Amino acid sequence: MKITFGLFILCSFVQKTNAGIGQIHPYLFDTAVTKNASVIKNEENILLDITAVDRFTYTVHKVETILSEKGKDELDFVQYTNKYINLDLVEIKVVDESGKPITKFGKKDLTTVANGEGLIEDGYVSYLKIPVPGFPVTIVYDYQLKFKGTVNYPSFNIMTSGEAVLKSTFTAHVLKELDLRYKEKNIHLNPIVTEDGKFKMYQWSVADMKPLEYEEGAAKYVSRYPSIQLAPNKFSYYNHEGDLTSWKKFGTWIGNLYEGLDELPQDRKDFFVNMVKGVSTDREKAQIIYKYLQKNFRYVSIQLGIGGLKPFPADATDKNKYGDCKALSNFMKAALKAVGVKSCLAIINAEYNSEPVDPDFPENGFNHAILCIPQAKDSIWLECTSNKTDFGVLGSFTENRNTLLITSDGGVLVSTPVSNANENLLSAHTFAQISEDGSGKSVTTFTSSGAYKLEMATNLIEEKKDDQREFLVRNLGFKQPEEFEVNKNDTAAMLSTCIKLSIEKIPEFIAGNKMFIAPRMYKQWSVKLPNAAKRRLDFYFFNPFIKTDTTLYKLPDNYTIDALPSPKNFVCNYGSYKTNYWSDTTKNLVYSTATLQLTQLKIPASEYASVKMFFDEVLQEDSQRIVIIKNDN
Amino acid sequence: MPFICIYLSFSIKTHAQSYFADKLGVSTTELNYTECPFDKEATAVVFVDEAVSDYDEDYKLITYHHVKLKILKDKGIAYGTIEIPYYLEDDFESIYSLEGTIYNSNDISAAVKLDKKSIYKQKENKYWGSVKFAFPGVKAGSIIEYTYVSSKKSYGGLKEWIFQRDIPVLKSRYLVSILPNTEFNYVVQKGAGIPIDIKPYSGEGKISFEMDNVAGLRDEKYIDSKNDYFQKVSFQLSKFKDRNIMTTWDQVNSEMFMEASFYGQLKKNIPGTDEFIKEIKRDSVDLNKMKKVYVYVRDNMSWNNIKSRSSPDGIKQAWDKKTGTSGDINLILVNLLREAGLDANPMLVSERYNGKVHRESTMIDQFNTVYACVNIDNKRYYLDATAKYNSCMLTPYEILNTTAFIVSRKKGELVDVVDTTALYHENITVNAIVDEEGILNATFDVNSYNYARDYRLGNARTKSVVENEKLFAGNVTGLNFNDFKTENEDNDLNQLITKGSFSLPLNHSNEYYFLSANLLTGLSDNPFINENRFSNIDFGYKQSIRLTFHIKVDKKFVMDALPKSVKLKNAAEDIVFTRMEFDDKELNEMQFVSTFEIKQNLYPADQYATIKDFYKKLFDMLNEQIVLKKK
Repeated sequence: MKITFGLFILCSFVQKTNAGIGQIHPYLFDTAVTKNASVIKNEENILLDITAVDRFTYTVHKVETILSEKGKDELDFVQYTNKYINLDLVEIKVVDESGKPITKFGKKDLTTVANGEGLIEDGYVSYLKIPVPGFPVTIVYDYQLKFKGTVNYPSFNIMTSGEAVLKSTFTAHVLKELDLRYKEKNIHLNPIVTEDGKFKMYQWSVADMKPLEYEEGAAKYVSRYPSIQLAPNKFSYYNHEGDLTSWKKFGTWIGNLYEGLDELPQDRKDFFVNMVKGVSTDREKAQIIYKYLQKNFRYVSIQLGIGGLKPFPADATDKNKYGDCKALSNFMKAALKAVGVKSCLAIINAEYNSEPVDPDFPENGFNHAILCIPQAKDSIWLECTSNKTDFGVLGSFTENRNTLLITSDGGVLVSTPVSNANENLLSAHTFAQISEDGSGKSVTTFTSSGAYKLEMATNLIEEKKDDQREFLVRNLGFKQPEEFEVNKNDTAAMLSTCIKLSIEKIPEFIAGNKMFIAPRMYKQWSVKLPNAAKRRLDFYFFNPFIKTDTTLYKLPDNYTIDALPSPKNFVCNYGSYKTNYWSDTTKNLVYSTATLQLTQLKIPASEYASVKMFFDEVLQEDSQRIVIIKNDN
Repeated sequence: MPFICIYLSFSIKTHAQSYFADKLGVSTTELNYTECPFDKEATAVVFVDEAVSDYDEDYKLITYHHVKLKILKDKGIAYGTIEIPYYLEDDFESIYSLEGTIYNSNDISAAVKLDKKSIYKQKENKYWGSVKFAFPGVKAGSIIEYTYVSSKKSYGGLKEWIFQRDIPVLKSRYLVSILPNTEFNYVVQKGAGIPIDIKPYSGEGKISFEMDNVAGLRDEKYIDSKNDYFQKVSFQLSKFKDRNIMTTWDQVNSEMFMEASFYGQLKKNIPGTDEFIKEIKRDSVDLNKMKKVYVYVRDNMSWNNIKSRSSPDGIKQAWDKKTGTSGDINLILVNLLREAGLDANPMLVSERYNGKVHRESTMIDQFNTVYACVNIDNKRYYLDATAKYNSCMLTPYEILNTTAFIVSRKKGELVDVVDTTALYHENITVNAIVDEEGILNATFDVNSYNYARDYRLGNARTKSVVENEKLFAGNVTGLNFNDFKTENEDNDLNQLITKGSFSLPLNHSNEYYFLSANLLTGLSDNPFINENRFSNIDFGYKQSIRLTFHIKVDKKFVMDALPKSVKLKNAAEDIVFTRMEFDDKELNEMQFVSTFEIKQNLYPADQYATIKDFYKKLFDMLNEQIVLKKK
């Protein structure tokens, strides 16, 4: 990679914009830089012009060549807008090899739709699927966004997968009195910093960057590729000014938005006091109220109020019995407050593959709210949007992260619990009786917690019969049953699901006088992990887990065992797998046991190959067969 | 069946409730209702869904709606959040007077009114908006009821009433008053054996439609269109004053012929195409001309993902922008095909997902887009230039087994688009060696013809190699491609060839090694595992997949058990699986030739039990393994 620095920042930008594009023949090159690219970013100039605490403009000039259909996602021009972000100017030109425009598009050619999947969203998406005559094709983009809210600055996203960058420059032009902060991600790149009267300028430039491969199972987009993240020191959002130089100050600003919203009317306070009467500990009180919340409230996404940052008051949520993450967490806080339990709202960046926000780089990188009940040891964390999550267990959606606690003293950045394999258990016990023709009946009891409890409850127990059948066959890997029955037995922490099956052919196949039987009636592990070669990024599982299985086969009377799979016991740095097989010939029983454990959700790229090898071996072992043979007599 | 309005006018009613057949409020029966008798698994049930349409002094279409439903299970709580879409372009429609009540217990006095502040209006896009609200405190057992009024600028908004939802509906009723001096046609689509009560109030210029106990409609695999299964009634203006409007197919042809945004576009001169047309005309073979024009339009135009039956803004503008709706693009195609001297006409089509066209109804809304129809040597070719990977020699998959209407200067024609030769055809050859370690190393080539070619080409062009490899590997774990490439991408007269090599460590238990005889066929998961089915199985085309799998095994192994030669067929013998097994134990070689053929493109729902049975047996056979034993 070659990094270049420009000196005439603003002049350079203007010049490029007006210079025309007569020299574009990049796709004629097959250089070391452009090899394996589906898109070539020929030239990019971005100007972030921050002229006041409450406004900035973001201006982009970009020339890109899309080499083949594989790069066609780049033809989707997409911009997010709301009443505080205005897409001011747009000019998109599709040009021929000489740089002469074939077609030209402006703002009126964009389609604008409401953004998001919630009930109510406070924003829009404007998009254009750029029509092109074929590939390769070159597109010239010029557009400008005007922001009237400054809590987030756009980042310099240098490249994405399959994209070669010949030249790209990002200039931040900011009032000295405001200044800004920046952070490199997946790149070492220093800016040129200059001053011009009241303004300070930062310029980052890159050139000749080879494309990166797309890697499955990696962190969210924002963490995957080289970028420069920017953040304001002072900001204004929906006319509320704030300070982002520390987590404490940002937390204060968020806290002000919540100020006074966590009060319930007296009769409702009395209701909750009565509810926890006779209960002494905070944990027990919280547990009772959380159960009430889960039973009576539902999640409805309504992204209104200070750009989706301010919740509905607790009494409104209490009356509606619904709300989004902020509203439900805020209501829970108010209910706890009514019974004398102190809790803090916590904002967080959710998703199992989100990386924790950087403690040293305060920014508004959050999209979700949870609740924390601080304790001297092991604080209690509550996910208030789920009707099924266990009390005090967040799940990988928000575990392993840094979250900003909104306290009376401002924001405090703390870690959420680390995902624990012991909180995601799936234990199965099966008894299957096989008849001489291979048909049979089986009873499998799954005991589950955490992610598996949610999965069983949502996708199996509550579903209709045909959907249950689909889940049994397609997700759990059972053979197609003739008849089946699903029953549940919910205990405090674990969900017990009993599945009775009647199956036409229990063995995987019958050949001659032999039956070939899978070690289990379902698939304990069925995911083939993506290739490991040249892995650059860490790999994310959905959650760590412990899966155990005991299967007991009662063989047909006139069959005996021909071969049992060999017991296996192998490990990698993040997991272990152990199987065992034995028989009781007097009762014609075969026993099969397996324990598969993954201790950590995130696997470092450097160790991914060994983890992939481990799971490939698990798949291989799971495909072993118990071979039984018909007696001659 | 036409419905004639002879009543001239009556004043607008201000109190909707007097129209509703079902009183507002809940009954004891409803409060005690816990299970839908004809769908015991239903998570919620609609007690009543009724509407009354009338006109006001400006001849606006005013519709009063009344909906009452009960949540039966926790999973049904989502039905307590409501979205009412409305057409907002040019303020065509508005929603007002929305009121709602929720009954969360048997104590009716504890019912809660919907708070007006919790009703939101949102613009979804240029055309559509939504009124959205969530009822408070919804739980299993809640009954929610709401009423609202929709006002549309004209009776052009009178389209259809759907009696069915995805949950059961106990009573669905629609009463409509017709404008003076107009006549509307209506068409009822309903399942056999499901009664509908149609009551004309001839003296009042009204008609009502009612259906009771309508089961919920769900999605199914290989369903052609849910629209075909909805219980519904559709309306179309058929007479205004003394003028008949589209009451016969000849009239439809005349109307479309006169329509500036439709046939009128075929007379436009498309700028910048003169040289191309001149060049085309030099070719004396009509089929070549058609292909060239098709490729020219397809490659020069980008579809904006909007289906339309015409080009309201004109094809010149679309051509200038190089983007447009399906109507824009295919009218450009017809225009240029005609410029090239071909016998081409626009053809109104209802793509498979949009539902069937009823020949007895002349309703234009049955069609969702327009294609080009070209006549060459008495053979018709159907072209859609929005599809990037289709050969123009094949009838587009989207209209196989549908009915279309060709609009022509001479005479329009309703045609059944049935291509009895339509075939998804793939020949797969795998040559493999199992080495002494039990690893299979193979070379393969897959020859994809006709619709298989279109399918594979689309994947090759738009998906990564890794994604394509996954599609070929199916559910065979451990299969690693070493080499993977496609040939013949640009010549749609020949088959697409996918070739390469892969390795596959055989699964084994002790001395037994297992290998599937079903590789690369795409037959991985049985699509028909549900107990029952209500919709027809529409494959679109027939299918023929053939796998020739030759294996040479290292001398350290012996063949212990091999999948046998079999022939599996359904009673009608139009779905057939055959496997022929050949082996030479001395040379330790074997070959399997498997063919899977579906000789019909469509199977009625009442044949589902036999299809399901066949597929179960088929997948049992496909799962059979080659068993090798290590010496």
